[in-house]
Amino acid sequence: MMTFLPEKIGRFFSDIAGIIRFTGLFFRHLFRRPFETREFINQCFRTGYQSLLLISITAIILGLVISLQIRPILADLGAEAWLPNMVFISIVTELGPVIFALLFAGKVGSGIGAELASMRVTDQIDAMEVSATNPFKFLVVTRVSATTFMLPLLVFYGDFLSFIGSFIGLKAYSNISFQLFYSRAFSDFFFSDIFPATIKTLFFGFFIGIISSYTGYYSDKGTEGVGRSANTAVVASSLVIFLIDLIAVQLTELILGI
Amino acid sequence: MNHKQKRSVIVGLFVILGLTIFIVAIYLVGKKENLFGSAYQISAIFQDVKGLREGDRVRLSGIDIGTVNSLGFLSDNRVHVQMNIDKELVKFVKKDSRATIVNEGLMGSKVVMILPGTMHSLPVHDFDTLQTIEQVDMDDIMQEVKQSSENITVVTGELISITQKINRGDGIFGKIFTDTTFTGNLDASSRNVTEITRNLIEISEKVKKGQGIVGKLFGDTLLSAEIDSAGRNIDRIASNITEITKKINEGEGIIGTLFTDTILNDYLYRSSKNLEYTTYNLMELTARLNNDSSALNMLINDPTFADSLEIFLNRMNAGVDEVTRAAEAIRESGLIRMFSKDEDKRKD
Repeated sequence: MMTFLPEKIGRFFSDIAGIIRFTGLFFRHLFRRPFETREFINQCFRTGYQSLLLISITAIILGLVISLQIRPILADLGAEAWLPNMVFISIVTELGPVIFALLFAGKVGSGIGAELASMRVTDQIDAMEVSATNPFKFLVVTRVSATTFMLPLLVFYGDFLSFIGSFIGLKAYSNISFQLFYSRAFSDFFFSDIFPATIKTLFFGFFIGIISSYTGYYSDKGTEGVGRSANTAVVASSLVIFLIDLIAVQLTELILGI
Repeated sequence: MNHKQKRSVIVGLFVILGLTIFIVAIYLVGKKENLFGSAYQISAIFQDVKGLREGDRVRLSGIDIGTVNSLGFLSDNRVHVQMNIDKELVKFVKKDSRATIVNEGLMGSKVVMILPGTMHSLPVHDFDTLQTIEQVDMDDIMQEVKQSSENITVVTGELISITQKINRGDGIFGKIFTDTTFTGNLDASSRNVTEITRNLIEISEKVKKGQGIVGKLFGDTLLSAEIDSAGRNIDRIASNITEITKKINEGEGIIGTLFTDTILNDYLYRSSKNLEYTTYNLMELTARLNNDSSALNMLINDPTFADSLEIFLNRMNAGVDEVTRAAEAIRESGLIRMFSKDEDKRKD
């Protein structure tokens, strides 16, 4: 550790360098045989499917709540007809990806961090290296791949359920048909809304996986290290989600000129 | 099915379901943007697209039939708008349909509105260009309103000054409203008018009854017949005069010759010259008569000469009488009769 910087700052920069190196390692192992397909599917099940309930409940509530919150304001303006597309666009482009990614980071990121950290603490990772199994490939590549592919899918589910939730919220107050709600929701909805959001969620998933794996993989020894890894995984992932979101917005603006 | 296989199936289902949602969403959006269905590309050239964007709707009779595909400058103030129109619905867009850009709502989103063409016109083809109508801008309307309000201000200002003048009693209207003598005169005039009309009524009644000349004129049929015949005579006279003047114009008769014959004119001119000369001579003669002591002058001017001339003439008369008497006596005498017999016989 460099001595000319305060320890925390030095650690922060060394962690950044570590994550970059870790990402390089990930890509190096990703395309190299043998592929841990079975473990990848297992991780998909654990990160994707097992988060579905959490995401579903959150998504329905999100759609419902936003609908109920915005409706009076729009009704005052006489623009209640705009509610479906306003809610839907805001959920699909921004709120859905960010909120579901944060939930995902909380549930899956902390799990990965804690799991890998405890494996490190109990020397299981070292044991794998000895037993000729590549621990990085088996533990990190499968998990990061799983989070990268599962988060977008979860966001699709989430968006869909938010759409339903938003309809329920509006239906409670006005006698709108689903057909009308659907046509209004999609009336101002373009590819320029779907694709940037989807690409963004791929990055969210990837960085949640990388950061969580990194914190777990290079955990300090001891039970304290496990807790800290889980904690750091969630905090760092959440922060990175917002950073990526910030960059994504500007890139979208730059590329699509919106 | 063991535990791991079960997980694989669940993950597979999960992935397929998730991707299905994604694909359906993309399809729905794509359908709206006409990306997957076959579409015709129709163009329109506007001067001002008023913030139209790619992906904005194209409407015909209120139905969305396509989307704006691309926008770009053609020249300085000509914007080329390319639209994708649903192939199923393109037959309703005629060659003489016209495109215009309108606001969709109050919030400023724009729509390309296609106004239907005539029934007998042909439908558009791929890559056709529609005619456009530039919609009146809100700013233009506001400009007009501003101009109108300025005009109204000027007009009201003028009205104020006019009413002020009326209040002050300037001009005819001012007099009408303020001058009491004027209104008094007006009142008197109107009374006079009433009187006149009453008189007129009386007169007209008299006329109706056939009293007086005018009454006769209207009531007496004999008089009217006479007037009619007089009129006809006058007409005949006029026609005669017309004929005469016509003849004069044509050179017939003396007066005609007078007006038309140039030779006669020449003679007349010469005659008048001669006449002038003659009168001049006469003037000289009379002057001489007045002044000279010639016999003629004496004859005219000298009373004594006249008297002696009278005596002479009297004497001459008496002498002649005597001679006549002598001559008769001679004729009566037999000697003379004998010689003059044959002549008398011949006379008989």
